[in-house]
Amino acid sequence: MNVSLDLALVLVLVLCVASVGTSRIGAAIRYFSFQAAAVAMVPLLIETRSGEISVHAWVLFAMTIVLKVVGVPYLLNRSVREAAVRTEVEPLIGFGLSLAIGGALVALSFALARQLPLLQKPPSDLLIPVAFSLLMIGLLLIVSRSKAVTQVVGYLIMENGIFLFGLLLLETFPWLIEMGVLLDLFVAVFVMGIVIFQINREFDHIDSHQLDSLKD
Amino acid sequence: MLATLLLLPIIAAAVSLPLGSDRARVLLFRLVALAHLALVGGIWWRPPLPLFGGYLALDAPGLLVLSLGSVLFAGVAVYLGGYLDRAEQRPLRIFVASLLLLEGAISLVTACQHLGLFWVAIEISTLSSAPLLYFHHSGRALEATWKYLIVSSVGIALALLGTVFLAVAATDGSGETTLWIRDLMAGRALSKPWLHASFVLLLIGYGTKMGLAPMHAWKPDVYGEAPPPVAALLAGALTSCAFLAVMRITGICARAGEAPFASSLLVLLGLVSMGVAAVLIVGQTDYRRLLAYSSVEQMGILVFGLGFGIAGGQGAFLHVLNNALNKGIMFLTAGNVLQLCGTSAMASTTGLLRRAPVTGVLLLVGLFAGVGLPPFGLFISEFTILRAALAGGASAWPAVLYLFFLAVIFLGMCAAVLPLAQGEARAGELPLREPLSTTIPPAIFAMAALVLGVYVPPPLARMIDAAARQLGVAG
Amino acid sequence: MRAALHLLLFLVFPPLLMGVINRVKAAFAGRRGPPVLQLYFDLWKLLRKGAVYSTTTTWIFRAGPVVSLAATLVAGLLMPLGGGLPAPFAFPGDVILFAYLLATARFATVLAALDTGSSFEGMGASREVTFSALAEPALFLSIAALALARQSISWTSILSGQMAAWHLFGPAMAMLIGALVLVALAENSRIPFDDPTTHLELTMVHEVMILDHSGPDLAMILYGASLKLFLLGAIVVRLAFPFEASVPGHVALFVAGLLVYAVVMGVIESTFARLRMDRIPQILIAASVFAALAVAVILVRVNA
Repeated sequence: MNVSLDLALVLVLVLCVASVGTSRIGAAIRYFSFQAAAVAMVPLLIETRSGEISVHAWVLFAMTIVLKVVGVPYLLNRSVREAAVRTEVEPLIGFGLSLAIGGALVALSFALARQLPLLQKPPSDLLIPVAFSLLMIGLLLIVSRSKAVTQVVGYLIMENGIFLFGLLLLETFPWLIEMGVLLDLFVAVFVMGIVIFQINREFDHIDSHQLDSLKD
Repeated sequence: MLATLLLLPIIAAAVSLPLGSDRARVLLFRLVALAHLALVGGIWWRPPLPLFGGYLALDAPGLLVLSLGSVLFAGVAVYLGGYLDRAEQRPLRIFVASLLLLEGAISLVTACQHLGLFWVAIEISTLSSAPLLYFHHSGRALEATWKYLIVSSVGIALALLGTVFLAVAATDGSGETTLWIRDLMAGRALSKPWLHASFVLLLIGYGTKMGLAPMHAWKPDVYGEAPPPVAALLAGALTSCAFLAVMRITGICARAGEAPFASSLLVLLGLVSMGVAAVLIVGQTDYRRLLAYSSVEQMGILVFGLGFGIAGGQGAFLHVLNNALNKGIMFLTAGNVLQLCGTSAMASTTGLLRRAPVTGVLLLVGLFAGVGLPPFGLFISEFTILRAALAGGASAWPAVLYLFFLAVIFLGMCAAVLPLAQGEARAGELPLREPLSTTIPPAIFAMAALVLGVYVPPPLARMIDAAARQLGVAG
Repeated sequence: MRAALHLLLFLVFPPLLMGVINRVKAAFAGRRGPPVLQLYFDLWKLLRKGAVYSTTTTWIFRAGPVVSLAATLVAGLLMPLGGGLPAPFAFPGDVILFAYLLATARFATVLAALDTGSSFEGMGASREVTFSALAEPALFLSIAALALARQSISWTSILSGQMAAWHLFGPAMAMLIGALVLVALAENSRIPFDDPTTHLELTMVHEVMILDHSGPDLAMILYGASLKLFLLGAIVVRLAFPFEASVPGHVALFVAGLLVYAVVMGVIESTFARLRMDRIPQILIAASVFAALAVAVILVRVNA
């Protein structure tokens, strides 16, 4: 067993649960940034087990650090500052309850991960359960929070989960595609940031649940 | 040839940014869209060579979707000048650049032969369409843009996950995997549980982009608030790209011997979409939202068709062409109605036949083509799908429900749209002016829809047949 | 011999922990603080005094402190102290008995508080029960995680050989320590959950329940509280210092560990603000979730 890899994965999980429990948007963004840093370490840690760290893993590491640890949190923090919103005041689901749901989702993820057999043994038996947990908790944040920025954080957490899944294929996935995926993600958040800014200017709030003039 | 086709819109987008006047930008867009159409025509004449070691190549399904996209873009480009002249004046720099980028992204989607790259291309198309929705800078447009972004992003994230799962499913004993469409279609052994999970995720993910119920929530808002020419592109071309995605994974499933699993999900999702559309179309008061639900219905028909093997696939490919043309007619006409009457609320727009005869007639043609009346193309494709459902299905129930929903939607659409065209013009309302550039493109689309209903040209028929064969067992 | 040493350590040492915590808090506040042995003096003083009983109370009020202290003492007999002193009584399932003995102690205190008929004490009892009901899942999940990791349901075997557990489930153990520290803070009514020094009835949780106790009764309650702090500390210390040594070395290590634990408690109490009442459940649920994560992580490994 690789203790540092386990540690990184469990850290990712803990930070993910922590972002469900916090009411401060700034803290949620910070947790995401730490989480992304831990996620960025994972490809390196996977490859240290087999010896040499490939250039591929280093590039992936660098891109993740630049885009997810620095770039995205910077953009999000800027939108929070522009909008002068600090806390998630009225989430659809209370913090205690969403924490409990988050815990249940993690349990579900661990159960789910057992249902999918792998030909190749994964680098760590925590990799898939943690990846599932990030996905589900990301979705939970998107549906249960009312502030646009928190929803974006949920989306990013989900994306981190997919990234972890992608590491199952670290050696065989073409670079170009990975870079494209990371860049797309960054641009997506950039566009969302602009829209959040516009929402704030137009309505004086970034409460996406108040965006309800369109319905049947 | 292929390189020119892909690079043309993207270079044009870059060129359009520093241009001095908006008039020049629109002109550039028109030229590029027409040149793109000409290039696509050339491709039908002589198939292009693959690019980048085969990452980019056009096969039959790709070429079909590329063609319909290109036709729509050309039509919208012609239409746009007349529309913008009378629309609220706004700077067009970002708008035109995004339009060009969208055309580039759609071309890229159709040419991708690697599912990872395919995902990237679809994501680019989503992102480049977001600024288009926000063109009017109103609060409602903003709300629609936000919903579009967040729902599509989540959908597309699930699609990415599905793509990764597919790669895991394709991993062989030595740890090698592939996302090349040709490898996956060539009967590679795929791990069943991962393939199933992957299919579900990809269907939900790309289905969100198509606007299948129950992932359709963004659609009425977006189509209702976007400028109508943009809505025409989204409803005609962008959804067809997502259809291409669903079709490709269906093909992969079929080749892996999992056709029954895929079929049952596709048929279910198709019927749910049609059912939801049927419920929401009845009593709809806004013309553009009505069209959005009609689009949900058409997407339902498409995946329903995909659920019935090669025969259903033939119907689906014919249908995707017809639907694109039909959405072109209807949304461009909706744009005219909007500009003539200042609203798309149906209660305050009546008597169009009297006040604006050309638009009124186009509206009726669009309606009749859209609900699948003969002799329009949609009748043929819907009928083909019905025949496939009756021949290929284990039970007749799907076909019965399909017909029932079609009938409900027929009544709902007619009840909603007919009063728009007919009825008395209110006293004091003058006949309205209709510029040619805004009536010719929908008229041409209407003509094409009529032709496809009567006669499918042999090259097109061959291409549809080749595309549909990808849905069957290899050989 | 070992049993005698166990008893001696268990019975004599706990009040010292309170003294250390109070000194650390005083140091943070810039005061000299009470002597480290203050609680011993207090207990001695209280034992020599008589008790005052309200006329509205019944035998339940008098039985409360006795039952509570007795239950805590029995619980202590099930807990090994460090690696060197195994529990005098060890049998499969004693982990569950341990948890329920602590619960019994709390139950007796709560009943005694309700018996006074005072609205303040009722309020305190209600809060105490609410929070401990939320702390219970965290405690049980932590116990479950440990039991799974060591494949045993007896404290003595669970808490021996912790090195192996760290090698296999390192991150999970770290999470468990976090969850157990939170449980210890909540169970012992420390900041950030409750403030043992508060003098305003409305903000009190645990303290308000024991307002009516006096003399030997109060001494029993205070002593029982220090025992409880000691017992939960014994688990945390053993998890955090899993090293093996000879018996005297073990005891020294354990005592040193407990002192560190007391200092950490003091630091936490001095640096954190007390939580708003409505935030407390959230933190306790978080502790449960972390314990649950630890269970999940350990399960993956155990069955692999």
